[in-house]
This record gives sequence, structure tokens and C-alpha cells, in this order.
Amino acid sequence: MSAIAGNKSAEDPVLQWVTFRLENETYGINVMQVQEVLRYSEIAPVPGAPDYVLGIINLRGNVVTVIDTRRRFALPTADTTDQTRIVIIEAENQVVGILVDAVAEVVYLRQSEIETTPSVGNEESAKFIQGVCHKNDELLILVDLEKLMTDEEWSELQGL
Amino acid sequence: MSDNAKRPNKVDGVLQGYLDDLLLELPGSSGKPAAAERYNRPPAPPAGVENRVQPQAARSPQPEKPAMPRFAEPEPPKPVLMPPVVVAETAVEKVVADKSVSEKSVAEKVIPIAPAAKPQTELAQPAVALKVAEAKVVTPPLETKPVARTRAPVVPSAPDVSKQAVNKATATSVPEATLMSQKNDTAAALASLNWQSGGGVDCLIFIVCGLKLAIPLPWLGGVHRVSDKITPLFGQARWSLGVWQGEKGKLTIVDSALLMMPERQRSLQDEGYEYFIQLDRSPWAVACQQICDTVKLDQNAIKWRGERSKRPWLAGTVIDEMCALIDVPGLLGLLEDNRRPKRAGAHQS
Repeated sequence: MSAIAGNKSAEDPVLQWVTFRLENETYGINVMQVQEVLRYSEIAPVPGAPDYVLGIINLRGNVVTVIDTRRRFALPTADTTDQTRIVIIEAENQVVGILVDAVAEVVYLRQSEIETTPSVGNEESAKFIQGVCHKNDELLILVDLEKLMTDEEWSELQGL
Repeated sequence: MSDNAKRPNKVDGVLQGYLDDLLLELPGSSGKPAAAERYNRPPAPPAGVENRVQPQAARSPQPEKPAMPRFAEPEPPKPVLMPPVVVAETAVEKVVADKSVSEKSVAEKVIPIAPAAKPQTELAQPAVALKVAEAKVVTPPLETKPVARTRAPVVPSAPDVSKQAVNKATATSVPEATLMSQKNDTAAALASLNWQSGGGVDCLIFIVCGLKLAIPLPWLGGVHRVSDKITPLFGQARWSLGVWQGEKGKLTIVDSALLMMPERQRSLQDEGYEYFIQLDRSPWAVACQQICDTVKLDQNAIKWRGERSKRPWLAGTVIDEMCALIDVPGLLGLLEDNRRPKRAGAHQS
């Protein structure tokens, strides 16, 4: 009996996702890629950095690049609020921060619950969407952080 | 339709001009009515019964036939086209079983439909082959008609008349009994698309940014009022309004104004929309601002688009109703052409 249950869980694993808000929509990122969540602090701009880079912060002596998630997702800009957070993530062997409107919760999703949606158009940012999931009466948009930037852009970030 | 809709006025003149432009810029509009063929405008002489509602076994012996129209209407069956294979008999048994109609009763219904002289080749054919086609002819019409006429805010979904079901009906291997029921539904849908019949085809008329559009009810998946939130996805085409989660799955809502008439530079995102209409059983739905009415359209009421049309979504225009008739399969094809490849590792809805 337990073996059957084990096989089932192996075939359909439960994944944890950290959800955050951006432009009144809820997004999710794999919890395994999240290192910590920081309150908004002063971000030092970096001259000559790409437009999707807000700047850098000092995280306990380490320099972390903060990405402008809104720009990356082609969303309109917005002012920071008390709910604004910087989510420190690890992707492509790099530690970076992404600026979000708010961090909501951690949700548990089965792999089978993650669904694809018809992705249309030629916008590059569409590839960031790993899938969607209907949870708590809303549609959760799951983001593939690895695809958040191209290999060249990841390399460019490393050089900042 | 109301009298106001038919009364010529300035607005109608402008609309008519726009509709004419849709067709006039298409050089083939007056020549070869491709949309008419797609919507089962039967060529002369009639093509017979080799349409999509037939089991594959019935169509397989005719490889020399040209490409069939996408929605061929069921014509009075020509027995010469029926396959002398045992597979058809099995299919008939399933059909009869599903419809809870005995072979005898089916045969009784068949007799008055095709009493004409039968070619000699029929002698070599199993009688059950005839029953396949004619059992579909007597299939009751779709239940979508009364639903749409009620103009209910949220219309229950139409019977299984999906493109997928049609495709399955034309597949080479269709062993499941459930598929047979889908075939029956498909047959009903195709039968209802008989534009030349006396009754015509029921179409639902709706309005998008002042343009009246008509969609045949057999290809109407459902009408939903915009109540729940539609979640926009970033990085999508401009005409993608977002994703709506329904009880039976997600629908991608299409800004029909931007998609169908981009030259007008009007967007439902800006002007608002009240309903969205699911295209067949697909995951696509087009947004609209107003649901008007249902009308019966026959062959002569439609000015079919030419085969060189640049608008695959347009089947033709209806002069009397001053509206454009949507080619649902063409529109679905257009949408699917714009779809990115699916990602690996994620499950499809």
C-alpha cells in the first residue's frame, strides 16, 4: 500500500512555490530557488547596467544585483510601497534579487496541477511562464526563473 | 432581427461599406468561394456522402477524391461510396446501440429517405453501410439553438461538436464507444450546417466594436458573461486578453477587435467587453460587447469570401443582417498558428 503511494508521489510530486504579487497578479517561483525575502532597501544604481537591472544591494557584505521584474515582464512601472520586497533567488548559479510588489505565501502544488496555457505572440517574456495553476480561486502564474534571462544576460549580470 | 437592424441608415451604410471592403480587397471573392466550400457549400453536382461524419472505413475506399471541404454537408447517400467491409458493420452496431434504436427501426427510417434507384454496385455491399449514413441523417438537431435564443447570461456549453471530435471522427482508428457518440454529435453538427436546406443554419449574432459578427451555433462552444476575473499573462500578443478559469478548464480570451480588424485600432481592453464566446470546444474564446440574436442563414444569404482571402476568420458577409460570418475552423487555425510550442514538463489542461 505504501509502495503504491510512494510510486504515486514519485510520479506526481508535490512542489512548493513562493507566491508574490506584481501588478495585481499572483506569480509563483519554486521555493528551492528562493534564499530569502528582504524588505525594500535602497538600491544603488549601476552606471551602464542593462535597463532590466535596478542596481545592487549589500547583503551582509555580498553584492547582489536586483532585477526590475516589472520591466522584465513588460509591466508598467510602479512606486514602491511598504509591501514591496526583494526576493533573493538563485538561478543559473547566480544569486540575484527580484523586486516584487509583495510576497504572499508558500503554496503546495502537485505537478499534475500545473497546466500550460496557449502562449501566443512573439514577445520574449512569454517564455518565462512555466505554467499556470488554479489555486484559491485565482490563477497562479508560475515563473521559470532559469528562463528569466538569456545565457548572455546571465553572463552580463555576472560581470557587473 | 428587429426592424431597426434592417432599416437602412447612415450607420448601416458605413457598416455595409466596411463589410464590402472585407470582401472587395480579396481578389478571389467573386470567383471561387473557398469559405463556402469550407462551410459546406456543396458544389454542383453534389459531392455525395463522403464527408467527415462518415466512419473512416466508409471513406477509405475513395483515395482518388479531391480534398474534401472541411464541413461537408450530409447529402442523400450514394450507395456506391459505401465500403464493402465488415468494419462498417461493427460501427453500425455501435451507432445503433448508442442511439438505442434497433436496426429494424433505423431501416424503417431509412427507406423513405433514399428510395431512389440504387446502382448495381449496391448489391455487393452490406446493407448496414447504408444504415450508417442514414442513421446520422435522422439524428436530432443540436440543443444549442434554444439555449442561444434565450440569451441567457451564461449559456451552458453546447453538445460535443468540437473540432477535436470532428478530427477524431475522421481518424483512421476509432475503436471507443465514446467516440461513436462523438461521431453522432458531429454528424448532428454537420447536418445542421446544411446551408442549402430550407431551414438554413442558425447563427448567433454578436457585436464587437460596432461590427456585427455571426457564428454558426453548431460551432458555438458556449457563451459566458464576464464575471470572474480574467488573468492577463505577460508577454502575449496584444489580442490576448488573458486566461479565464472555468469549471471545465481554462479559456484564453481573444480581443476580437484587435485580431479581426486591427486596421480600426480599437481594443476591447480599452472599450470593455461583457461576454466571451467559446469557439467550438477549443480553449479559445472571443470577447464581445453585446449578444444580439440568433438568425437562420441559408446559402443565398451569404456572400462567401474568396479563396485568396487574407482573413481566415471570415467565411463571408451576410447582407441582410449586415454582419460578417465567422469561419470558426479558420479562426481556430489562425489562433493555433500564433501559438508557441508547448513547454515540456508541464501538463496540459
